[in-house]
Amino acid sequence: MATTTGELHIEGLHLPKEPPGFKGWLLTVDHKRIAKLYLFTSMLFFALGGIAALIMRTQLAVPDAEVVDGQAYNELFTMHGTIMIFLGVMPLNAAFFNYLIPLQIGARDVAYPRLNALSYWLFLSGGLMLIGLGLFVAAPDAGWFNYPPLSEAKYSPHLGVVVWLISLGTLGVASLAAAVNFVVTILNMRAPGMSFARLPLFTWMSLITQFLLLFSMPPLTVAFILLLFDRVAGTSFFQPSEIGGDPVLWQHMFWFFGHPEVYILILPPMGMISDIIPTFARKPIFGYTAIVFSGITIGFLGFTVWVHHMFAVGLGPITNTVFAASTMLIAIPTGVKVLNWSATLWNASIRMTTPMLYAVSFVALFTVGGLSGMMHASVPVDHQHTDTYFIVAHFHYVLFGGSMMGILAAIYFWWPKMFGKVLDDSLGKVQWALTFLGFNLTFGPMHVIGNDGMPRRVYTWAGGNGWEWGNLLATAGSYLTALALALFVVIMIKSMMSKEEAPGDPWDGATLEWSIPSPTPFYNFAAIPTVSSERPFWDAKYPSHRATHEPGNEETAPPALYDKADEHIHMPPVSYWPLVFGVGFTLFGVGFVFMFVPAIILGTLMMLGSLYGWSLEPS
Amino acid sequence: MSSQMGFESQLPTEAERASALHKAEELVAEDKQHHTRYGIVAVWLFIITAVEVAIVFLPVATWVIVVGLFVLMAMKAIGVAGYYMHLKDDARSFSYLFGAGLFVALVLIFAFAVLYLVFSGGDTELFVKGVDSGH
Amino acid sequence: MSNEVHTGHPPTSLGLDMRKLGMWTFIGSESIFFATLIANYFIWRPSHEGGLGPQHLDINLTGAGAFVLLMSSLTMVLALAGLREGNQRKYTRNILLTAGLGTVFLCIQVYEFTHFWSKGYWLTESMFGGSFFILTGFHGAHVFWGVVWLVSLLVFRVGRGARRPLGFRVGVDDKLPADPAEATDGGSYVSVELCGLYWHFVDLVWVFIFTLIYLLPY
Repeated sequence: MATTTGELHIEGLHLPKEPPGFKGWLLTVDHKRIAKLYLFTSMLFFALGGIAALIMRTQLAVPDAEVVDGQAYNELFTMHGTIMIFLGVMPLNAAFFNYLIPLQIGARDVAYPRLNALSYWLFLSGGLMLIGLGLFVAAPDAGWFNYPPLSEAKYSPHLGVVVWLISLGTLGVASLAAAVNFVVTILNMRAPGMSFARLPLFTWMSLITQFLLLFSMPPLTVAFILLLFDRVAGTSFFQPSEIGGDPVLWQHMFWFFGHPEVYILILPPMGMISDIIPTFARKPIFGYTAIVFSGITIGFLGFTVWVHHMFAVGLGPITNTVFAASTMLIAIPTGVKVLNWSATLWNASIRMTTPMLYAVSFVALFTVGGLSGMMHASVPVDHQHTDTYFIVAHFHYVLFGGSMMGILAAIYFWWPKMFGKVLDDSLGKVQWALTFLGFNLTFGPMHVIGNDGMPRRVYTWAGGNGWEWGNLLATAGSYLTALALALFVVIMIKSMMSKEEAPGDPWDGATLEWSIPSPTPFYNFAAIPTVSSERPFWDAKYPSHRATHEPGNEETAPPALYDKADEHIHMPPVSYWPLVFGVGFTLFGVGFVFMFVPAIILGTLMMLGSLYGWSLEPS
Repeated sequence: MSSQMGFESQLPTEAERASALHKAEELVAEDKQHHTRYGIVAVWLFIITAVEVAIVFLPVATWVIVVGLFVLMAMKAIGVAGYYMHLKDDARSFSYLFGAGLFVALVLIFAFAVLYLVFSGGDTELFVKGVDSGH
Repeated sequence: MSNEVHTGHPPTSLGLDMRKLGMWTFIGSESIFFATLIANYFIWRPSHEGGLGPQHLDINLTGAGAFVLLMSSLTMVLALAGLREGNQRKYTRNILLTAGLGTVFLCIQVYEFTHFWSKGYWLTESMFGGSFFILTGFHGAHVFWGVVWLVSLLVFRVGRGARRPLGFRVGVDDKLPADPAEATDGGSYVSVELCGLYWHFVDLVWVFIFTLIYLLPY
């Protein structure tokens, strides 16, 4: 009985090789390579967003500072927010969708490999457009949420807002394409025996996230289109005029997307730590079913709360109350998850590795963020919190203390599988400690100064309000955090340069990806596995401790994990078309920013042409 | 179109081709039945559309017309989705995927309609200028 | 349906064609795009003084358009049936008819738009106008790309080889085609079916738009 594909000897099986060289990367359709491209590209963008933050914190360290002026500050916080969300956390999540989903379900690639590559190129395109055009043409400066009337032509005549709209539109298409891809992959490409009740939790949370993307992005697209028409064609959907117009409509459309968006940001990391914690607790996750259903509930309820971002707009007591109630409701499934993670840790024999440190701090810090969130679910409280640093503290606790901690945990955890090398664990623990300290030092005090009334999105503040210590600490914390993340880069480089190779299963994992060699072979699985529980590899390794809660498993021996060998493995070949389409789309987008018709037409033709090439190309 | 297994080993054998051809002929026969169905659905769609246009002019209470229009619209939608798009005969998963999207779509329209037409979702009187007061 | 016959594709967990699954997922998402535009229309419907208003809409003309589009859905599904039977003439003729009817619909839309424009009712004169033109304009754009897709099917000879009931080969002769997918049951039939799904979806959106935008104001 074969436990790993490494133990399987398949006569005459031709194992396909990775396409070599630079061309192999440029034209890749391999989900693992695409994942690595996402991973490192988003790290670069994250660094840029971090630099923006450091400049902001330097400016805010003391009252009446003159490091940057108001206009520059507006551009900084707009770019910081936009980059961190759309070019930081989302693509980092995408890196893990790409890498892990096929491996966890026992597939050799995603449903549409070329579309997958296109998603990456569109992401890169959107990111380069935002940052390139932002730096050299006009930076967006109306906040990452881009409210009209400020974002209308009358108050923001420069191109910055249009750059923002077009770049984010591009990123939206990338995400939508990826969402279709992953939904079909997870629905239709699972290995034999892998029912939905046996999906690893990361894959489950990712599936829910894809549906959130599919259903929340279209209203955002409509909002962008309407704002573009306002700016370019003279309509007035979002600005008051003689014929009508309502800025609040933008807020409704934006937050109808915006709230599911935050669940899009947090659910994948929740999935990541749901796979990491049981591994190091050496116990199965407590309440797998509860975690799945609470994830689904969060996804569903996430569409019913968006007005809580608009409590101070003046929609009236009935509207506000309805949405306050729905917002408080979401605490329940979230609490279920936190309790389940905690219960997994209870009475467990815990191995405190770096990924486990990050995963456990996720639970703690996300809970803090969740609690502050619950506070401003109450409308009167929110009226005090809104537009203050209390809100900034809240969302950084859930986005950094939550999402980023989860993502860092995942990087440490799955790095051996991705690169065949380990990340130094002792140094990693130091890095974790610095990050944990730096993060809390930065955002902890913001609760206090926010509560004491310090407004957000101000480029300077006056002394005498008691905000001095808080701001100084926050700035010090931000520098410490930057140091910690720089150390992380050092750890990554050290690992790449090290000769030490990682084994296929360094952590004694339970899911399928640990049953194949590290780094993952090009073809993933020499033979497609047969799955008989939600811990397929664990059961294969320790048959006497296998999952017996499924009916019929008690007495019979589980089927071999790797039994049926494939006679021939065909991997999808490299392709030019995603790249060509991406270039065409970029031309189209940039042409739109400048209203340069030849570029728009050329871009359209390139996209059309590449669609033809794409559909005629054998896969 | 992801052929992940080698094609050469999957070439159909003679027996398989024969059974495949037989199966295809069965499907064709099934199709002939569907043809008449498509025709009938088409006729119904035309009739319903004509009725829709007609009832707008009927001297009945507005709410009757509105409800009637919604019902007729739903019938046409089910006709197109169920029969032309084969949802009725196809795998349930397709209907679920479409249904989920449709559900969120309806929730969105309903929510925005309530927020704006019942509660006046914007805060200022600038919101709806030029409203025909007698409408 | 499509995977019962031996196809050479690996077994899928739901037994469904990959591309169809993707198209339905996309359709689910696109429904929300149009729903947002429709919601936007409803919000601005009362604001029409001084510009385009519901009283300007011609339901006879657009009713004809609705008929045309519904008929094009019928021809689309007949084209698919023709492909299935291996009847080239039926397939080609109905694809052309579908594209033709789609073009007629587009002409009606263009006429409607230019008619309003010539009377001075455009995007900027009233909120009703703005939201109306954007909603129907995007629908028209979807129809346009659908027509391009249909014509492309014929230009690129998708399904052209089918001369007998689709069972196992869509090659012109019994030689092994270069593309493994073309030699299976699924290949080009599903390609045309995808186009059909998209086309029917566009028709479906019009079913909603026609009732909600044109008829409801009355």
